[in-house]
Amino acid sequence: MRIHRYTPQVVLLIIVFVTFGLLNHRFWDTGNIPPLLQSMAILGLPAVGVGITLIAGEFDLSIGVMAATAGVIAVTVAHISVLLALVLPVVCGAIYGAAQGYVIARFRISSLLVTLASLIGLGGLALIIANEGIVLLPKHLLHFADQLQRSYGVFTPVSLVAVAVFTVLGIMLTWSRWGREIVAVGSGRTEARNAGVPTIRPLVLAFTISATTASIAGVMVGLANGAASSRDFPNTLLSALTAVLIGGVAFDGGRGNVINVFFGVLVLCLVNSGVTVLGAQLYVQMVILGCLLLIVLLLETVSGALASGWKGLRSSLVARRTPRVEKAA
Amino acid sequence: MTATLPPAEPSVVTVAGRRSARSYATVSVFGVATVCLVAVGSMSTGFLSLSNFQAIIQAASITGIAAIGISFITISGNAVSVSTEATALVASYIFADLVVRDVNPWLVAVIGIAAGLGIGVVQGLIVAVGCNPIITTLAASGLLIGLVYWATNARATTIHQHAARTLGGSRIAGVSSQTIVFVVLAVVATLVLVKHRWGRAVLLMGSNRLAAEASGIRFGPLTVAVFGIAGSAAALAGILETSQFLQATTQTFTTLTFAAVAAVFVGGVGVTGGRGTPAGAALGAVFIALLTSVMQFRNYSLGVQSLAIGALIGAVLALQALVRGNG
Repeated sequence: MRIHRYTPQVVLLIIVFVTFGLLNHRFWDTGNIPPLLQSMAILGLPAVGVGITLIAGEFDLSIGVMAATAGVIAVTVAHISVLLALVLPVVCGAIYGAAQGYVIARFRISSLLVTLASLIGLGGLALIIANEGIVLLPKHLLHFADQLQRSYGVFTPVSLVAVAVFTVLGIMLTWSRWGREIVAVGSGRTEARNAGVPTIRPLVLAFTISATTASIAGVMVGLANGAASSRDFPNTLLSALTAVLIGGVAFDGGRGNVINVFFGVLVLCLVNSGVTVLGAQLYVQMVILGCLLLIVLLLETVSGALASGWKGLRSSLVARRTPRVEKAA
Repeated sequence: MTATLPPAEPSVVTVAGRRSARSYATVSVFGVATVCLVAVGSMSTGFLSLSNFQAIIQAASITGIAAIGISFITISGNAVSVSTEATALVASYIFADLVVRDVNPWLVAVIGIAAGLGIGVVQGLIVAVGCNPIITTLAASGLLIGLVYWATNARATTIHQHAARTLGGSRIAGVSSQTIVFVVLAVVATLVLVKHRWGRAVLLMGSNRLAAEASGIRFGPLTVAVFGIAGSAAALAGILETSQFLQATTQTFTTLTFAAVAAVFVGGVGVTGGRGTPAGAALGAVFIALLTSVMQFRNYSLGVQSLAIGALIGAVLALQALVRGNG
């Protein structure tokens, strides 16, 4: 019997939804929807970026720091022009991401290390720009910050942007040639190369997307909050990765799409929401995230039943046992 | 789709001439860099002093001990562990909370290291089953740090029993105890890796897993062992630091993970495995500490220091790529 592709995620979704609701009925309150969508958007943007780099067979450690840096830049230049604050960090992020992707692809350096260097270096950059503190939006712009927080129905500006980004990326990944190159390059780098698939372009694209989406998130959060610091987005990497893996993106690459990311982000944000409604502290979320990730990891590795519709599980198990690092071919 | 295993990178057995050329190139670059750093540093007063030299090594010790542990994981081909901070944190609070209850600090240290060993072993088991090491350790890190925050309510524990300071804060013949532990560990670990049969098995597993398994070395037990070593080392680092400052806080080790990982790679341990030594990782930690010291003497801000270290890693990567011939 062929199980539907997203069955595990839907089942998990139902379990989470029912469990937290039973623990506290306020969880089911429809007033929770706008904040849920907001948190989904803030997590979802970096998550879809990480997801796409993962699908491409690589790893981006720098998304949290990228978001923080973008936020710091945005708030810092906002007094010059709001438009500049919206556009500049995203453009800078895109360029930086493209550079990262190029270095990783062209010189075949491990993405783990390159993004580690970025993680440390960008963190330093953000510290420098923010003068080691918190940058604040000038008073005359606070009304703009308020506007960013207003709800339009169930949506907020941030969640609307996220919806747009997800849609665009989803279409690109599934139906455009560039998207298919990304998937090909993630399924088997050597095979793709031998089959004539360009390896540099999809990697550059994947890392550009990753940096850009993280920057967008950083800009929107920074401007909406009216403040930014280099210490923002501390748990983003863990959360985004957990979301993406829960959602069904394979860590080996080559499998997954935007819908997977959406499911994962939804589950994660529901869990966070549930934990908050229960009145537990923030670090309880970390514990749950860690547990969830380990469970998903173990399940994905050990159980064949969870791999509905994933062909060649045996061979992919063998491939999975080789750690995700591209050896110099 | 069947993914073929990528071709193994030859390292242990290579054309002798080519390998020496590689090593010489890398070593000489680092030698020159060190000389330049010291030259720049000496322009600041107080830099070229015995006490500063000792301070640099001591600053490198905690990170270096953790880096030595991680180097085993990396050399074995298991990429890297990012749960250093978490393990050190757990050991730190175990140490502090037991010592304030008047338990013998040395006994507590053993317990703490055992805890680190256990944490490492569990992660190693998960990786041995086939899970990706980075994600596994990332998950473990989140889980452990969250648990520590939960259990301690994010409160610091201060130790009043000054006897506990002997472990991490004392000096023997003018050399700090942390430095002694660091140096001894670096030497022992490197000797084990290079001379002992098990160490060579680790090297082989990292450079060519198929060959290693074909010659009877089992991935599972070896992986569990290297993660256990890394966990113990992280715990040791945490305990020494806590012992020195007689305090356990949630913020003490926030930079430890990436600092240790950076040290490992700056020290020449290849990310794909099979290359490098714990001594290299130790030297990497010292080099970073040297760079940091030079920057501190010139009053560079924290931000600039981070930027510089990030750039350093980038430079090392570029150098390795050049030497590898991929440029």
